[in-house]
Amino acid sequence: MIRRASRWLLFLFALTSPAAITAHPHAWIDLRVSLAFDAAQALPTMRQEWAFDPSYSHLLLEEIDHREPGLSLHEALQLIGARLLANLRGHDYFTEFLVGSERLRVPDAAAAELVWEGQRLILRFELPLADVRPGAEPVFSYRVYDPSYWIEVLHDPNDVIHLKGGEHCEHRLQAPRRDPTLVAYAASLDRDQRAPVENLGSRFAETVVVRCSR
Amino acid sequence: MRPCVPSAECLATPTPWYGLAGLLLALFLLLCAPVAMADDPFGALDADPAEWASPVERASAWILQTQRDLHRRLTLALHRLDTAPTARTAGILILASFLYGVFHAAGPGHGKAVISAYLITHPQTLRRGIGLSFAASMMQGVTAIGAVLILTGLLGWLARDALGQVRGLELASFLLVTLLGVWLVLRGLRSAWRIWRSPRDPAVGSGEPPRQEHAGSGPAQALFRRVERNPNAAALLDPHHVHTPDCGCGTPHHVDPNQRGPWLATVLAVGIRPCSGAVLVMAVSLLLGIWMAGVGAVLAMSLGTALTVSVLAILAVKARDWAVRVLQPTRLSRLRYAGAVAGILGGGVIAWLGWTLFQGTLMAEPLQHPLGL
Repeated sequence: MIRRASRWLLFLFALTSPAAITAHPHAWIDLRVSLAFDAAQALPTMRQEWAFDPSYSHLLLEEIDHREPGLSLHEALQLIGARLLANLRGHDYFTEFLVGSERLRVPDAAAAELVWEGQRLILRFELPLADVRPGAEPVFSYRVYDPSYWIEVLHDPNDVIHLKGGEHCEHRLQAPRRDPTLVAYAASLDRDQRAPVENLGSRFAETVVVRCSR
Repeated sequence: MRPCVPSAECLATPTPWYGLAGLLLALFLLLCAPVAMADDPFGALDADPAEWASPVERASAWILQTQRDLHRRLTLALHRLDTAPTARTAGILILASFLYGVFHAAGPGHGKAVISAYLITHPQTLRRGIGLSFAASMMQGVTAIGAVLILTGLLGWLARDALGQVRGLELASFLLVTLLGVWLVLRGLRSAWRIWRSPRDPAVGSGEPPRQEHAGSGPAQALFRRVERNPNAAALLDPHHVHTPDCGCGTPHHVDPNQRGPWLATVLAVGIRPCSGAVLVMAVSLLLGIWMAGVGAVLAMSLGTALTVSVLAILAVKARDWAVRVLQPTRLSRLRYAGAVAGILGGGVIAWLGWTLFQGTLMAEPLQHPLGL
């Protein structure tokens, strides 16, 4: 009886722990990636396409319309695109490259554009890679994520990761390992709360590994 | 004198409750157990997902996935309602919002913490506990709707700025929670003072506590109940007092009318803080010019939340009942101050919770997200 009572109390105590304040990612990005190999089987660039969710897209458009009234859609898109890329530059475009366990420096983006398609903002850009040559060992891998986890970045489930020209290469998308404590923790963050777990988003990021047989 | 007529719930065996509680506890402990957190994020790179995923990991992944799917469904339905409105899309929006509320409320939250702490330390009937959950959840939805309609609809704020105002309401909520806790402590102290002043009941403290077949009439029951300013105070301490037909299982059948104040205060303190997801849905629907859809979605979401929180409220009320029943034959039941002490402890926990959350939120500066303008 007493054991049951203590179980009850423990249970309720656990529920009342102050790991409180509800929410989780408030917006999402569908990520499409294409990796094009050159003739020498090196990877000169990584092309990324981010499709912002429709709500976030509308919020951005409303904000630019409010701050810079009278812009055409085209002008507004140019302005938003420039600002987003300028902000993202300081955050490595939310991208992480690894060769084996060694991290590559993330270069500045090139060929960037922001377009409006089907109620969504689509941001496209290229990251020039410094002659990465994926082999069997060490493998090349990347992750794209928002460290604060306010926006969830996942590969578009209706799309594939394009490997162009890499005949002997294959890729694998690895889902994040869901640490239950972190799931509960992430659920307890609100958008204005600084994430005390450093780099929380990385814990929920997908990893893509590229392995080549030659 | 009429014999007590126990309700159907009383007659039902309580075992399923314990089974359910045990199951939930086991799940919770597993969830809380420190899981080895590989510092090398790429450590498990080559492992097969099926190999490393424990059942708990898979379960939490499923919950997360379901929540994410519902969030996407409701967002997409909202925008489809804007471009090509059909009754079917509206139905999907409402259903997805409702289910999202159910799943979303399954996580930890300060509102749930306050409600369960209050219900476990203060006497409430099951019905009032459920009512508390529903009222607080629905008020959260109404706050979200009201805040957005006033800030962006009337005052012309940006949707994004309205979303930022959640923080202000959050601070107000945490401050109110703190005040609620302090108030409950003061009430507990007053109750203890009154017990100390009142003449000792002969039944209390005598060697043989009268044992009854009906758990609700023992002295422990009476002691866990607040007796101050209650016209039936004498009757409560009398084990042979008259019961009304609706006397419940272990819960006080004479709910102290003085609990109405704290009940309303709890609804207010919890309900004044809107869910930021609901604010986002409301703000975007207003932006799209389909604010009625936003109202429907937010109310459906609140209803779903209310459902989940009610389950917690039922657990809390049942746990209290059960604790009272277990303690009845023990020496503890003869402590005259048990009810007052429980009230003071509960109030203290609530005040501490509110204050730490208030301070934490105040310290955390709003973060400028790189994908903002």
